[in-house]
Amino acid sequence: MSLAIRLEVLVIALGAMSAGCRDDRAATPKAVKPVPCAPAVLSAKRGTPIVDGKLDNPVWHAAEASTPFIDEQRNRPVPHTEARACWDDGSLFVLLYAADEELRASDRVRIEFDAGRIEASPDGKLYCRFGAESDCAALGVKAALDVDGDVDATAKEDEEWTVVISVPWSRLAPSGRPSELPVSFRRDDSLAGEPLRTVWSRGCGAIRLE
Amino acid sequence: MNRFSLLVAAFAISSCGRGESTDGSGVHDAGGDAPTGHDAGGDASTSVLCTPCAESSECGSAATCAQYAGSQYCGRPCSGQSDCGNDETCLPTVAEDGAQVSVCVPSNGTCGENGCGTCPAGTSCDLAAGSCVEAELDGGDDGGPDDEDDAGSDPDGGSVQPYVGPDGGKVHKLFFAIIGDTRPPGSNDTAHYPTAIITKIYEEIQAMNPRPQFVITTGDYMFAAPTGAQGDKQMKLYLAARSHYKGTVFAALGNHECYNNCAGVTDNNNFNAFLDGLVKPLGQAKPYYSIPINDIDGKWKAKVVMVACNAWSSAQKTWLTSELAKPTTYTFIVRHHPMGSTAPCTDDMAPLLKSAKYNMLAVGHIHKYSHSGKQLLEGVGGAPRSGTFNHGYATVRQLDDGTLRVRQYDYETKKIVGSFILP
Repeated sequence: MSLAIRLEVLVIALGAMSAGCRDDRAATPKAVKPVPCAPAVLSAKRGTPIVDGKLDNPVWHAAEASTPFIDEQRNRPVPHTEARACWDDGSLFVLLYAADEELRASDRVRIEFDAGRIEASPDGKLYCRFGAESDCAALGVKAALDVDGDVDATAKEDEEWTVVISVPWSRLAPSGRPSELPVSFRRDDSLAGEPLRTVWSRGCGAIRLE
Repeated sequence: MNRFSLLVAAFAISSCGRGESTDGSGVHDAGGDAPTGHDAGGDASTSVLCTPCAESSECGSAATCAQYAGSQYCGRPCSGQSDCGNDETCLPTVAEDGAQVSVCVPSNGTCGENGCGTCPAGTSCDLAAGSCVEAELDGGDDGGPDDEDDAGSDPDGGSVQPYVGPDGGKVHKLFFAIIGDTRPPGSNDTAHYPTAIITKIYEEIQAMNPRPQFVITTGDYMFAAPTGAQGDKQMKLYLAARSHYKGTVFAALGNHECYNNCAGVTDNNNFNAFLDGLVKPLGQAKPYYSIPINDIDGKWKAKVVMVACNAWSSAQKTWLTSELAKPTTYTFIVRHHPMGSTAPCTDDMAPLLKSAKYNMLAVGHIHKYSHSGKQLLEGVGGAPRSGTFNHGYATVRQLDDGTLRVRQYDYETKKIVGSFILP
């Protein structure tokens, strides 16, 4: 698709948008189907990418691409989603690619570590939660997006969005950088209005540092 | 389409508990449980059979709106023939939302006045398309025409043999394949070029019996900076994968082989790689061209009109107007951009498409398979798919009655996942 029009938008310090905790599931318990775990390991090479959201950084070209995400519950092809990772002494870097023919602000990708989790949406919002801390800036979490399409403009064709997220090791592993880090990736999207959740490993994946 | 980069810093919101998201004030929870498939069990009666539908919600909780008998009807999901009645067949087909499903359908492929009815001797009913087709040669695979002379063999001396080459050719009945969008996910991401997928697709087309007479591609063979060298490298990877098919391939220009409008441009490396790799070997000098393919017995004529949207010019418009005005029994127009999308050619082409007589507009650009009216969207050749159809390819076959049947194949299962008759 056309790359002719490229708008660089810098959003800094938009501040916290705290939301009160509400446990919806406790209020309306749902039957949850057990889904089989899909063990997977994503190799991460040493390297420091520019956190600009773009997949054209050589560090990402050299990185292993994860197996494509799968529908959380059904055995069927789903819009392509993949993850790549790399690391340096200070941070872990994760790239998430999502093919998406209809970008919505409500779309999400999520990275979940033992220490906390991070979510991003194609409209540029970033959400963090590590223990009691939810301020991404205070946590040192940075993210950048590259969006091919128009968010919430249903009349226009969209193609994909990519987010690059960096997380300091001090938040992920305060006691020292591990050789393997448990991680889950998830994508929430919609398909013709139907909620669609795709996952990588169904909760039992890991990033292995090379 | 706009592509923008957005750097986000210090934009935080609290959320509640691992594995869940907050309410509408920020992080969403996409509905809790993921959507599930239609329950293949249940106690649905056969009353839903042949009930016309547009959405599965119209079919009750135990049935799915799926394609069979040439239209969309409710059908009970099945996992095997034992799930269906005596006069029913468990048919792998496509649900209205594009998902692959198997449903019980009438074994005669007929719903009321729609469908096969009674098929003539020597033909059988395509249960999904609801039309009678010649018996297949190879046990249910597409196979194409049962006339093996049409398998794309080379010309043979003085006698006229069925053959389609770079200049076109003559056959008994048309049978060709369509592949679209084979680029990698990211710019210059040559390391992740989808070589394995493209290779398998071409291998499968080559292995069809008979082999499709030619292949049409709808564009986007690369994703690379037009000033760099990666486009050429990706083109070489593509050509290596394509070499597993031994017939002629007619290639349309995609936007990634140019990015803007390459009419008259000489210093765009991607465009040059496209011309050198896919156009000049056909003996063509321009990225737009028309290929004549005619009946070997002179009963019909066809042309494949390859449009280069991203090399659009007044000269190409004049050429296209002239080509479309030439009378042929069948006209197949190929371009990268679907109707409704924006590209250098789309405004000029809209009135031409409205007035021209053609049978099919084959497009790509969007990485999925779909069809609407005469338009076939074929964009699952290896680029990151954006829909629920797996990577694959389509075939177009001229049936005995002159109609054109399209079939979509899943490259992994080799199964037919879509089938329709061009209007």
